[in-house]
Amino acid sequence: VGVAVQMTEQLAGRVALVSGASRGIGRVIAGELASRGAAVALTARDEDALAHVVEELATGDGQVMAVPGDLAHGGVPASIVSRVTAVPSIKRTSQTLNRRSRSTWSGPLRWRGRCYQG
Amino acid sequence: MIGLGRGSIVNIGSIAGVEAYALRAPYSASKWGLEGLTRTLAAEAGPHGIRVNIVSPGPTEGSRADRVIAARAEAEGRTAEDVREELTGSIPLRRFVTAAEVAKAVAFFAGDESSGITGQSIRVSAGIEI
Repeated sequence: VGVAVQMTEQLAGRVALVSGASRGIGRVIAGELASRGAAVALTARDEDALAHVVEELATGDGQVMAVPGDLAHGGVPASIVSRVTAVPSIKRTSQTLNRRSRSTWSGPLRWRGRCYQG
Repeated sequence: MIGLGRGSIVNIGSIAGVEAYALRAPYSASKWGLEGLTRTLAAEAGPHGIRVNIVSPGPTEGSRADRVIAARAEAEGRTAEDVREELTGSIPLRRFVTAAEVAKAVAFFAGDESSGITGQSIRVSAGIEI
Protein backbone atom coordinates (compact mmCIF):
# COMPACT_ATOMS: atom_id res chain seq x y z
CA VAL A 1 0.00 0.00 0.00
CA GLY A 2 2.83 2.37 0.80
CA VAL A 3 4.24 1.92 -2.64
CA ALA A 4 0.88 2.47 -4.25
CA VAL A 5 0.35 5.73 -2.41
CA GLN A 6 3.78 6.91 -3.38
CA MET A 7 3.09 5.99 -6.99
CA THR A 8 -0.12 7.93 -7.18
CA GLU A 9 1.35 11.04 -5.60
CA GLN A 10 4.75 11.06 -7.20
CA LEU A 11 3.89 14.20 -9.17
CA ALA A 12 2.06 16.00 -6.36
CA GLY A 13 2.94 19.67 -6.30
CA ARG A 14 4.11 19.62 -9.90
CA VAL A 15 2.52 21.43 -12.81
CA ALA A 16 2.35 19.75 -16.20
CA LEU A 17 1.44 21.33 -19.53
CA VAL A 18 0.32 18.76 -22.10
CA SER A 19 -0.08 19.70 -25.76
CA GLY A 20 -2.29 17.76 -28.14
CA ALA A 21 -4.33 16.86 -25.08
CA SER A 22 -7.82 16.81 -26.60
CA ARG A 23 -7.51 13.30 -28.01
CA GLY A 24 -5.39 10.23 -28.60
CA ILE A 25 -2.09 9.78 -26.82
CA GLY A 26 -2.00 13.35 -25.49
CA ARG A 27 -5.34 12.90 -23.80
CA VAL A 28 -4.18 9.72 -22.06
CA ILE A 29 -0.90 11.37 -21.03
CA ALA A 30 -2.84 14.21 -19.38
CA GLY A 31 -4.92 11.68 -17.47
CA GLU A 32 -1.88 9.70 -16.38
CA LEU A 33 -0.07 12.78 -15.05
CA ALA A 34 -3.22 13.94 -13.26
CA SER A 35 -3.65 10.50 -11.69
CA ARG A 36 -0.13 10.82 -10.28
CA GLY A 37 -1.01 14.07 -8.55
CA ALA A 38 0.19 16.71 -10.99
CA ALA A 39 -1.84 19.83 -11.69
CA VAL A 40 -2.34 19.49 -15.42
CA ALA A 41 -2.93 22.24 -17.97
CA LEU A 42 -4.17 20.90 -21.29
CA THR A 43 -3.78 22.59 -24.62
CA ALA A 44 -5.10 21.77 -28.09
CA ARG A 45 -6.71 23.58 -30.99
CA ASP A 46 -10.18 22.08 -30.58
CA GLU A 47 -11.66 24.06 -27.73
CA ASP A 48 -14.83 21.98 -27.42
CA ALA A 49 -12.99 18.66 -27.39
CA LEU A 50 -10.54 20.05 -24.86
CA ALA A 51 -13.33 21.22 -22.56
CA HIS A 52 -14.82 17.75 -22.73
CA VAL A 53 -11.54 16.13 -21.69
CA VAL A 54 -11.04 18.59 -18.85
CA GLU A 55 -14.53 17.84 -17.58
CA GLU A 56 -13.77 14.14 -17.72
CA LEU A 57 -10.47 14.45 -15.86
CA ALA A 58 -11.99 16.81 -13.33
CA THR A 59 -14.04 13.96 -11.92
CA GLY A 60 -10.89 12.58 -10.33
CA ASP A 61 -8.66 14.02 -7.66
CA GLY A 62 -6.49 16.07 -9.95
CA GLN A 63 -6.50 19.77 -10.71
CA VAL A 64 -6.91 20.41 -14.41
CA MET A 65 -7.39 23.40 -16.65
CA ALA A 66 -7.93 24.00 -20.35
CA VAL A 67 -5.73 26.43 -22.25
CA PRO A 68 -6.87 26.13 -25.87
CA GLY A 69 -4.76 27.48 -28.69
CA ASP A 70 -2.85 26.70 -31.88
CA LEU A 71 0.83 26.28 -31.07
CA ALA A 72 1.73 26.89 -34.72
CA HIS A 73 0.65 30.51 -34.45
CA GLY A 74 3.30 33.00 -33.46
CA GLY A 75 3.10 34.10 -29.87
CA VAL A 76 0.62 31.42 -28.86
CA PRO A 77 3.11 29.08 -27.10
CA ALA A 78 4.44 31.92 -24.94
CA SER A 79 0.91 33.11 -24.29
CA ILE A 80 -0.19 29.64 -23.17
CA VAL A 81 2.76 29.27 -20.81
CA SER A 82 2.10 32.68 -19.29
CA ARG A 83 -1.58 31.87 -18.86
CA VAL A 84 -0.65 28.68 -17.02
CA THR A 85 1.95 30.27 -14.79
CA ALA A 86 -0.39 33.21 -14.08
CA VAL A 87 -2.83 30.98 -12.21
CA PRO A 88 -2.13 31.84 -8.62
CA SER A 89 -0.53 29.20 -6.43
CA ILE A 90 -1.47 26.34 -8.69
CA LYS A 91 0.93 24.09 -6.83
CA ARG A 92 -0.41 24.89 -3.44
CA THR A 93 -4.03 24.52 -4.43
CA SER A 94 -3.40 21.20 -6.09
CA GLN A 95 -1.99 19.72 -2.93
CA THR A 96 -4.64 21.25 -0.72
CA LEU A 97 -7.46 20.19 -2.97
CA ASN A 98 -6.13 16.70 -3.27
CA ARG A 99 -6.24 16.25 0.44
CA ARG A 100 -9.56 17.88 1.06
CA SER A 101 -11.42 16.45 -1.86
CA ARG A 102 -11.00 12.96 -0.51
CA SER A 103 -12.96 13.69 2.59
CA THR A 104 -15.53 16.28 1.66
CA TRP A 105 -15.97 17.15 -1.98
CA SER A 106 -17.48 14.87 -4.50
CA GLY A 107 -15.19 16.41 -7.03
CA PRO A 108 -16.77 17.37 -10.32
CA LEU A 109 -18.60 20.53 -9.30
CA ARG A 110 -15.69 21.83 -7.37
CA TRP A 111 -13.25 21.07 -10.12
CA ARG A 112 -15.42 22.60 -12.77
CA GLY A 113 -15.34 25.80 -10.81
CA ARG A 114 -11.60 25.68 -10.80
CA CYS A 115 -11.14 24.98 -14.45
CA TYR A 116 -9.50 27.85 -16.21
CA GLN A 117 -10.69 28.62 -19.69
CA GLY A 118 -8.01 30.67 -21.40
CA MET B 1 11.45 26.45 -15.62
CA ILE B 2 14.68 28.40 -15.70
CA GLY B 3 13.35 30.57 -12.88
CA LEU B 4 12.48 27.51 -10.82
CA GLY B 5 15.82 25.92 -11.58
CA ARG B 6 14.17 22.68 -12.49
CA GLY B 7 11.80 21.10 -14.95
CA SER B 8 11.25 18.23 -17.31
CA ILE B 9 10.34 18.49 -20.98
CA VAL B 10 9.06 15.32 -22.62
CA ASN B 11 8.75 15.34 -26.37
CA ILE B 12 6.65 12.81 -28.25
CA GLY B 13 8.57 11.32 -31.15
CA SER B 14 7.82 8.25 -33.17
CA ILE B 15 9.46 5.14 -34.46
CA ALA B 16 9.40 7.16 -37.71
CA GLY B 17 12.17 9.19 -36.04
CA VAL B 18 14.18 6.06 -35.29
CA GLU B 19 14.09 4.21 -38.59
CA ALA B 20 12.86 4.70 -42.15
CA TYR B 21 9.14 5.27 -42.73
CA ALA B 22 8.54 4.85 -46.46
CA LEU B 23 6.17 7.31 -48.16
CA ARG B 24 6.00 9.49 -45.05
CA ALA B 25 9.03 11.71 -45.62
CA PRO B 26 7.71 14.92 -44.00
CA TYR B 27 6.54 13.05 -40.91
CA SER B 28 9.79 11.13 -40.70
CA ALA B 29 11.85 14.30 -41.10
CA SER B 30 9.91 16.03 -38.33
CA LYS B 31 10.31 13.12 -35.91
CA TRP B 32 14.01 12.62 -36.65
CA GLY B 33 14.36 16.35 -36.13
CA LEU B 34 12.62 16.06 -32.79
CA GLU B 35 15.19 13.50 -31.67
CA GLY B 36 17.94 16.02 -32.47
CA LEU B 37 16.04 18.88 -30.88
CA THR B 38 15.63 16.81 -27.73
CA ARG B 39 19.35 16.18 -27.34
CA THR B 40 20.33 19.73 -28.23
CA LEU B 41 17.80 21.22 -25.81
CA ALA B 42 19.00 18.78 -23.16
CA ALA B 43 22.52 20.13 -23.58
CA GLU B 44 21.32 23.73 -23.42
CA ALA B 45 18.83 23.37 -20.58
CA GLY B 46 20.81 20.99 -18.42
CA PRO B 47 22.76 23.74 -16.63
CA HIS B 48 19.40 25.17 -15.53
CA GLY B 49 18.35 21.90 -13.93
CA ILE B 50 15.95 21.16 -16.76
CA ARG B 51 15.84 17.71 -18.31
CA VAL B 52 14.70 17.03 -21.87
CA ASN B 53 13.81 13.55 -23.08
CA ILE B 54 11.70 11.96 -25.77
CA VAL B 55 9.20 9.10 -25.85
CA SER B 56 8.93 7.51 -29.28
CA PRO B 57 5.86 5.32 -29.74
CA GLY B 58 5.44 2.62 -32.32
CA PRO B 59 2.02 1.86 -33.80
CA THR B 60 -0.47 2.75 -31.09
CA GLU B 61 -4.00 1.44 -30.61
CA GLY B 62 -6.66 4.05 -31.23
CA SER B 63 -8.87 5.60 -33.86
CA ARG B 64 -5.92 6.51 -36.09
CA ALA B 65 -4.66 2.93 -36.17
CA ASP B 66 -8.19 1.74 -36.89
CA ARG B 67 -8.51 4.19 -39.79
CA VAL B 68 -5.18 3.17 -41.28
CA ILE B 69 -6.07 -0.51 -41.06
CA ALA B 70 -9.54 0.05 -42.50
CA ALA B 71 -8.19 2.12 -45.40
CA ARG B 72 -5.60 -0.47 -46.26
CA ALA B 73 -8.10 -3.30 -46.00
CA GLU B 74 -10.44 -1.51 -48.37
CA ALA B 75 -7.66 -0.65 -50.83
CA GLU B 76 -6.48 -4.23 -50.93
CA GLY B 77 -9.84 -5.95 -50.74
CA ARG B 78 -9.02 -7.68 -47.48
CA THR B 79 -10.57 -7.80 -44.05
CA ALA B 80 -9.38 -5.46 -41.32
CA GLU B 81 -8.52 -8.48 -39.18
CA ASP B 82 -6.29 -9.81 -41.93
CA VAL B 83 -4.42 -6.51 -42.26
CA ARG B 84 -4.07 -6.22 -38.51
CA GLU B 85 -2.64 -9.72 -38.22
CA GLU B 86 -0.11 -8.98 -40.92
CA LEU B 87 0.95 -5.74 -39.26
CA THR B 88 1.30 -7.20 -35.78
CA GLY B 89 2.84 -10.45 -37.01
CA SER B 90 6.30 -8.91 -37.36
CA ILE B 91 6.21 -7.06 -34.02
CA PRO B 92 8.01 -8.96 -31.24
CA LEU B 93 5.14 -8.51 -28.78
CA ARG B 94 2.67 -9.32 -31.60
CA ARG B 95 0.57 -6.25 -30.92
CA PHE B 96 0.44 -2.48 -31.04
CA VAL B 97 1.14 -0.49 -27.87
CA THR B 98 -1.57 1.38 -26.01
CA ALA B 99 -1.72 5.10 -25.29
CA ALA B 100 -1.63 4.18 -21.58
CA GLU B 101 1.73 2.49 -22.08
CA VAL B 102 3.08 5.59 -23.81
CA ALA B 103 1.72 7.75 -20.99
CA LYS B 104 3.56 5.70 -18.37
CA ALA B 105 6.88 6.38 -20.08
CA VAL B 106 6.02 10.08 -20.21
CA ALA B 107 5.21 10.06 -16.49
CA PHE B 108 8.54 8.36 -15.82
CA PHE B 109 10.41 11.15 -17.60
CA ALA B 110 8.24 13.82 -16.00
CA GLY B 111 8.90 12.68 -12.44
CA ASP B 112 11.85 12.27 -10.11
CA GLU B 113 12.31 8.58 -10.90
CA SER B 114 14.25 9.74 -13.96
CA SER B 115 16.12 12.52 -12.14
CA GLY B 116 19.48 11.54 -13.59
CA ILE B 117 18.29 11.03 -17.14
CA THR B 118 18.37 13.66 -19.87
CA GLY B 119 18.74 13.71 -23.65
CA GLN B 120 17.45 10.15 -23.87
CA SER B 121 14.84 8.37 -25.92
CA ILE B 122 12.52 5.61 -24.77
CA ARG B 123 10.84 3.68 -27.55
CA VAL B 124 7.45 2.38 -26.51
CA SER B 125 7.01 0.21 -29.56
CA ALA B 126 6.36 -3.42 -28.61
CA GLY B 127 9.78 -3.91 -30.16
CA ILE B 128 8.81 -3.18 -33.76
CA GLU B 129 12.10 -1.45 -34.60
CA ILE B 130 14.57 -3.81 -32.96
